[in-house]
Amino acid sequence: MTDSQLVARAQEGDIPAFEELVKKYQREIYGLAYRLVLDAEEAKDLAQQAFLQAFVHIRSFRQQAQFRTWLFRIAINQCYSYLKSKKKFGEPVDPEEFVTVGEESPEEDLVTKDRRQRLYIALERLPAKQRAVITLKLEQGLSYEEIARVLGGTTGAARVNYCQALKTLKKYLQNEDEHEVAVRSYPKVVARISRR
Amino acid sequence: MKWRCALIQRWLPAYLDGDLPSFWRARLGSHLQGCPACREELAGLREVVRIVQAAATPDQGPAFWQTFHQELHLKLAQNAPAPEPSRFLKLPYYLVGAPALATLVFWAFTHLGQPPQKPLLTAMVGPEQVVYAGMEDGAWQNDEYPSWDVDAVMADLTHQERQAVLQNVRY
Ligand SMILES: [Zn+2]
Repeated sequence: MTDSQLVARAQEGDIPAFEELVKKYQREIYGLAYRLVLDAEEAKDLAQQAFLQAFVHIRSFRQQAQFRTWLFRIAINQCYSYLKSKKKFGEPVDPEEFVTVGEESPEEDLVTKDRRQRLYIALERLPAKQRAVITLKLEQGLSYEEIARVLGGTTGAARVNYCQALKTLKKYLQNEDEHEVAVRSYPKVVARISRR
Repeated sequence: MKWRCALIQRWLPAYLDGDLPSFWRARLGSHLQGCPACREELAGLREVVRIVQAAATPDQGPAFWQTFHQELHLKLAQNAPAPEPSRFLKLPYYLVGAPALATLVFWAFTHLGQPPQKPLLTAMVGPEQVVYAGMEDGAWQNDEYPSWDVDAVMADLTHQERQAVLQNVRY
């Protein structure tokens, strides 16, 4: 069944039809939330919350629009609200937990683990919107036009945003001194990544 | 760095993915041919893209997704939106006003002998003043708001519904 057929059924309150859509997009939505909040447990809650919001508001969805980008938009808004509230209330830090995502998988060697860890620390330093733009472009493979539809603004602004984000990420990743500073000043992300 | 290189390097990430207007693509391409510094910058960016794509979020496995679905299913069941109002139940939103108004105008027309100068509803209620029930809470989609065109509404009804409408406005 196509997305629009499933959406039409979900708009009639058909939960199994909506759950088909969930299965189709769960990995992307979870991955997006994970990249934005860098916390596996929170990403799961936020992904569920995004699907729930989408279901509750499914009747306001226009069939001309793309369901996938509509869903991304909802998920990103959920993550932004979470990040905003976290900023407001702060978060306890436990620098003792210094483990990265993927540690449990034995096939992942130390070099890969180190690279992944450095990437997450660098991503944490980017503003949330730049993190979103990088994820949408490089992981979800969206065009600038689609990114603009998800994040708002024009196609040109999405392109500028992505260019800036990638250049900044490169700076954070490649400069070894910056890396050292990052490890010292951003133990939070490492702590959170470990709670997987 | 030369000012020209600074300008070129601003757009290198978009040059990499090819999603750049053709004028810029050509300009960057010819600059890169003659500029080792910008070529190096481009190679660095390509490596960053590779790192990000190689570190995709690891798949959580079937047990994770099973729990995910079970928890979500409960939330969906608890928050299922109320069923769409049936066609017949939608009637009162516009029937309250439109046919009663039509009768009133007809009465005015026959008794006062003056045809209304403006179309029925705009004469009495500016369109911007009309607020539809359910408009705020998203019960209707924009293109579904009940029509105020009485003829169109009546033509759209089944025989049974039309009888019910006439029954309601008769006095
Ligand atoms: Zn150059």
